[in-house]
Parts: sequence; C-alpha cells; structure tokens
Amino acid sequence: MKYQRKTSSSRALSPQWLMNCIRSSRELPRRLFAGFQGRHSSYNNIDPLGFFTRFKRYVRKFLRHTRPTREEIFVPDPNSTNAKLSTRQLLDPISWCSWIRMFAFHWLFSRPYASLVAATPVIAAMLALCTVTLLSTTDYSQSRANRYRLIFDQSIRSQDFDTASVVLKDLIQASPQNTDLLYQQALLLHIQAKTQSAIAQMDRLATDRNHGLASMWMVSHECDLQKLKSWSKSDHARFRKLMEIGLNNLDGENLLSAKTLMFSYLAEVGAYGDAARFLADVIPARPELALAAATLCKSQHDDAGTAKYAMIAENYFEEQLSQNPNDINSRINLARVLMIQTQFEKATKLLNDGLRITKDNRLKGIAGEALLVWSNYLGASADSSKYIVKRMQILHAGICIAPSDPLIASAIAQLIIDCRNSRAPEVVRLKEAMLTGTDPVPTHFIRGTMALLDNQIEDAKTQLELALENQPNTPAILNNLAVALAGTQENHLEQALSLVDIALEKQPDHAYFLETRGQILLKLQRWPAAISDLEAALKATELRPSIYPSLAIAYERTGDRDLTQLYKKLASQTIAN
Amino acid sequence: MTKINLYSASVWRRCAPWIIGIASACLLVFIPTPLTSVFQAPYERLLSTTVAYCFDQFGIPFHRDGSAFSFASFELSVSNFLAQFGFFSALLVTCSLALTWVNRPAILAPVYTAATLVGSFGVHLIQLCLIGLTQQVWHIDFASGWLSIQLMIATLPVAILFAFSSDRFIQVVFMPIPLELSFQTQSNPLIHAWNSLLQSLTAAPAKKEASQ
Repeated sequence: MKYQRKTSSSRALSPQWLMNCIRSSRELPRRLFAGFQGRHSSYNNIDPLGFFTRFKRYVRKFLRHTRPTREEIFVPDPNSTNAKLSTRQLLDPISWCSWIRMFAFHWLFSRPYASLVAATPVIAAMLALCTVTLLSTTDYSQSRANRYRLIFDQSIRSQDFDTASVVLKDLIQASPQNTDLLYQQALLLHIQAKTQSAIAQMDRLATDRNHGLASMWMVSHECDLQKLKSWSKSDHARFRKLMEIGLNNLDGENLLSAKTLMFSYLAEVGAYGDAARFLADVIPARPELALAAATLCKSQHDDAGTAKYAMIAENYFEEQLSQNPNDINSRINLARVLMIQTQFEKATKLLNDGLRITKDNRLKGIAGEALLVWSNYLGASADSSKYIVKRMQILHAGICIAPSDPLIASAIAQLIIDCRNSRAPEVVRLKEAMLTGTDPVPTHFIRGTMALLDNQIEDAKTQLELALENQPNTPAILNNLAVALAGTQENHLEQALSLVDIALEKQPDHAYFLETRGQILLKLQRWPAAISDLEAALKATELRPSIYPSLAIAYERTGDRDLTQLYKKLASQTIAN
Repeated sequence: MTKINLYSASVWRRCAPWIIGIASACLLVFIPTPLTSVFQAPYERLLSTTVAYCFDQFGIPFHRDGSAFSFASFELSVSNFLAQFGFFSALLVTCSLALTWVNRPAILAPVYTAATLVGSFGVHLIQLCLIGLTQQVWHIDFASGWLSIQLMIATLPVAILFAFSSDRFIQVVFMPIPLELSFQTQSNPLIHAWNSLLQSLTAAPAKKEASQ
C-alpha cells in the first residue's frame, strides 16, 4: 500500500501527466459545449446538456404529420378503362348514394389521427370557447340580480359607494320599472355629493312616479319647518303636494312619520280642522305629541278632546319624569299639560321642584310663564275684581322668579295701571313691592306709563326716557314715550314720529302704535297719512272713542263732508254709550 | 427557353393563393369600412357578451351598456379596444398572407379565416379578462399606453400556438383521401374532386424519385 501510494503520487506529478492536463484543459471548452449526443450539427455544439436536442426531437415527434404523396392520391393510369364513368352512371342516384357512402367511409378511415396530437390545443380552446359562449348567451339575469343585490348590500356596509353605484346601475338596467332601486340610486348620489342629480332624480320619482319615500326625502330636503313663517305660498303648495304623495303611497312606520309631520305642519299653520284628522292615528303611536293635540283641541274649544289628549300627555310625561327626574323637557311639557288643565298651582310646584333639583334656567322662564297664564286666567274670569290681590301675589312671585321677563313686566304694568286708583292697603303694599322687586327698566316703564295716564307728561317723559336708555328699541316704551313727547310741545312731534316709526317696524300691525302715529300725524297736519293710520287702528274697539273725533277732523280738513258727518255721528254715539 | 402556359392548372394552383392574398389585402386597405361594419358589429357584440359572462364568473361587479363596461374605478370599451389595433382588416390581411406563405389551397381560405376569427376571439377574450382583473385587483391599466402593447406581446404566444394548432387541425380534416386500386374507389367522382381540390396538402415527392 505504501509503495503504491508513493507510485501514484509520483505519477500524478510526472511531466507526462501535466502535459495531459494542459491538453485536456485546451479541449475543455469544446467538451463543455459539445453535448452528450455528439452529433455533427453546429446547433449541438452549444448545447451542453443536450436539452435543445431532446426538445427538438420531442417537438418533431409531436408535430409529426404523415401525409399521402401525390402519387398515392391519384390513379396511376388516368386513361384506364376502370376509371372512366358513363353518363348513365353519373345520372344514377343510387350510384351517387354509393359514392357518398364510400367517400364518407374512406374519409373517416383515411384521416391521420396520430397527427391530431398537435391539434389538441385548438380542440380544447374551441371546446372551451363554445362552452363559454353558449353559457354567456343563456339567460342568467335572475341569479346575477340576486348576486348583485348581495354585493350592493356588502358595498353599502363597507361604504364602497363606487361599487354600489355600478351594481345599482346594472340592477336598474335589468328592471327599469323598479322605483325602489331608483330611490336607492338617488340616495347614493346624495351620499356621493352629487346633490343636484340626487334632487332631480328624487323630484322625478316623487312627481312622476308617486314614490312616497322620495316625496318625504324631498320634504326633508326642501322644506324646513323651523322656518315655516318665511315660507311663500308656492312653498306651502309644494309641501302639501309632496306630503299628499307621501301619505297616499307610504305604509307602516313611514306613513306614521308622514302623518306626524303633516300634523305638526297643520298645527303650526293653524289649520286645526285638517290637523285633527291625524290625531286618532298619530297620538297612540306618538304620545309625546298629545300635548300639541291638547293645545290644538283647546284652540278649537273642544273640551272633551282637550281633556282626553291632556290626560294622555300627562300620563306619558309623568312616566318619563319618574324614569328620569332630571329630564328638563319632560318636566316643562308636563307643566304645560297642567297649565292646559288649569292646574296652575301644581304646575308651579312642579317647576319649582325642578328648579331646586336641576338649577336649570329654562325652568325659570316656564315658571314665570305659568304664573302669568294663571294671572291672566284669573283676570279673564267673571269675578276678576275679587282676584286682584291674588293676581298681584302671583305676578309678584313671577317677577321674583323671572325678573327680566318682559311679559310679566307688561302684565304687572297693566295690572298696576288698572288698579292705580285703588287705595286698599293690601293693593298699595303689593304695588310697591312689585315695583321695587322688578328690574329698573320695567319699573321706569310702569312709573312712566302711570304718570302718562295721570297726565304728568314731564314725569312720564323722564321715566320713559330712563327705561328706553336701559332697553332701547322696546316697542311699548317707544310708543309710550312718543305719546308723552306728542303731549308736551309741538317741536317734539317729529321726534315722537320717529320713535313710533321704530316701534311699528318691530310690530307693523299693532293697533295701539298705529293710533299713536295717526294722532301725531294729525297734529303735524299730514291728513292722508293720519287717516290711513287711524283707520287701520280701528280694529281695536277700545281705541275707537279716541279715533272717531280725530278721523272727523282729518276728513273735514280734506274736504270730505260725508265722512266728516259720519265720524262726527259715530263719535257722539260712542260718547253717549 | 421554356415557355410558361398561363392557362395550365398547375400555374393557376401555384399563383392562386398569392392572387387571393394580394386581392384581399387591397380590398381591405381600400374599402375597410363596409367590411368592418358587417363583420365587426356582431363580433363585438358576441365578444362583449362573453366577456361580461367571464367578469361575472370572476366576481367583478360591472355595468354593461352595449360594448361599454363601467367598473367601480374605471371604464372599458370593447369597441375602442378593437379599434386600437385596426383589428379586423389586420386580421384578414395577416391570414391571407400566412396562407400564401405556407402554400395552402386557396379553397381553404374561408376555413382559415374562420379559424383566425375564432383564434382572435379567444385571444381578445383573454386580453379583456386580464385587463378587467388587473384593474380590479391591482388597479393597473392594461387597456392603454405602453402596457397595452405589453399585454399584446404577452398573449402573442397563445395566438401563435392557436394558429399552428388550427393549421394542423384543418390539414387533418381536409387531407386528400389515398386511393386504393379497387374499382369502386377509382371510379368515385367525389373522392377525385376532393383530392384534386386539396392536392397541395399532400407530401412532396421523395428526392430520389424526383431525380429519377
């Protein structure tokens, strides 16, 4: 072993071995690129693993196509008698049948079926294409529509509105008469901020196709019930038309919503007769509207209806309040219900309790309002003179709760003015208490008005100017100050006119303000303007005794004798009565 | 100097494919509109219907209006896609020239044209489906620009495979029937007519025999 190993190592390092190695290395590139096949073509020289050669062989095998030669398909001797056909044979149908049969037989059995291997791609493609084309021409619209509805729901859930829009467009194309799909499309357009298109489509749906939901959408989009007072006649007509479509074409919860909306609208515009039609349907489902229903019935002098709906509302709001005593709205609504039921004491107690619990300032205003309504209720009763002290106590409580409430201040002023001649000690005490308990502004206003009525013009002017300074542009103060200025001197008439003009800008149809302006214009000898204002003020019957003589003077100066006589006669009749 | 008999059948057989090829090329170049309107509209309609079915199977939501497809984020018009490559004229010219090049019988021109139409239908179907899928999944637009050419190149092997394969299929179906030396076969005029019309599909004679 030792010898052999030595020998082999000496051989390996021999010069002959090195020469062989060098020779082999020279042939290395040729060997690498020669390929295992060792063929003579240049192609094989660059095919180290014989891959291309094998591939070429496979392709050749695959594409092998055995064809007959031209000699095989023709008769070797065309002049042979066997190949010639007579005319009789050519006209014989039986011969033709035989030839056709023979042709089919020979055609079928002479095909080189082995060559069809290369045609398998086209056969498979043809089969696939035929299948797909046939399937595509069949009617699969129903399954497609079902699938698209699912996709639509999913895309809406995932807020993929582009996909939803495409799917919806296709569903509409499949069933163009389906108005619900068109409605959904309009909603989608609205979500995608294509508002104009959405409005146009909703309008078409509502007006042309009488789609209830579309009409309600249009109502919610176009008609703002909060701004009802600024609506034009066409706005009202449009709202009523849309609501009619909605009421005629909706059902279930949507119909109830439409009825509720219509009821609210009618109650708001004062169409109580029409609104009452919806009460029976709306109130059982929406008891929170029972308060509005009771108010409506009360305005219609329907005592039974008022009691019924007030009871429903009372039960509902009491339940709400028992669940959550801090619920201000329920407390306010319950107080209003109690006011409708003339349970003023209970309402006041409820509101005072609420004030104690929640300290919410909204309750103060409502409490003041409740006391004011209570006072007015007592004042309107047949034996109102008995309740003067009671009313004063109520209003005193009201002004203590809501010192800046102008309505309470006005009521106090009116009450004080009404009983200014009373010398009863209780009345005098309460009068002073009220005048000291109120804000400075109403106090100045009340004192000024009382001085005006006592014909103490300078005092009245001073007090009213103080009131106006603290609370400018208050119509009642402006009017009374204008009356005071008009009573003092001639040169203050223009100032008085400007003050009453401001008051009339605030309340254009107020009869008292119109009467004041008419009297000022009369003093300024602007007869037509004075006649216009005074005649407009005639709607207040209590003012007529002072207006008739003024109108008689104005018409006398304008030269209208008939009307002068008429108003003089009316004035004398009024004085006589 | 050898004379060429212009009226001989062999000359006509040899020239017919060239004549038909050049004639159809001229026809398509100079009067493309009527042919396009006659053939392209039904082709386009059928292709749109099939593509719509494929999109449905792939679960791609779309809206189809004629040959125009609207997807969530893109639009695809089959007519624009076909017009992009002047498809129909190019198709028939290529078909005629290919027929001429490989020396196929002129009588098989309608068959080859039909095969070409089917092949182009398949390729267009693949291309449109790929455009829809890539747009929907990866938001890549293969319908226009450089990417459309890439798509065309990518589907070219399919078209070539279809062309070779359909050629083999047509050759097998229209192969001349070898005659046997029986009286019935030799006297069958149908076989004679078939063979005489399709004799260019036969194999070339062996070199040894030709030299003899």
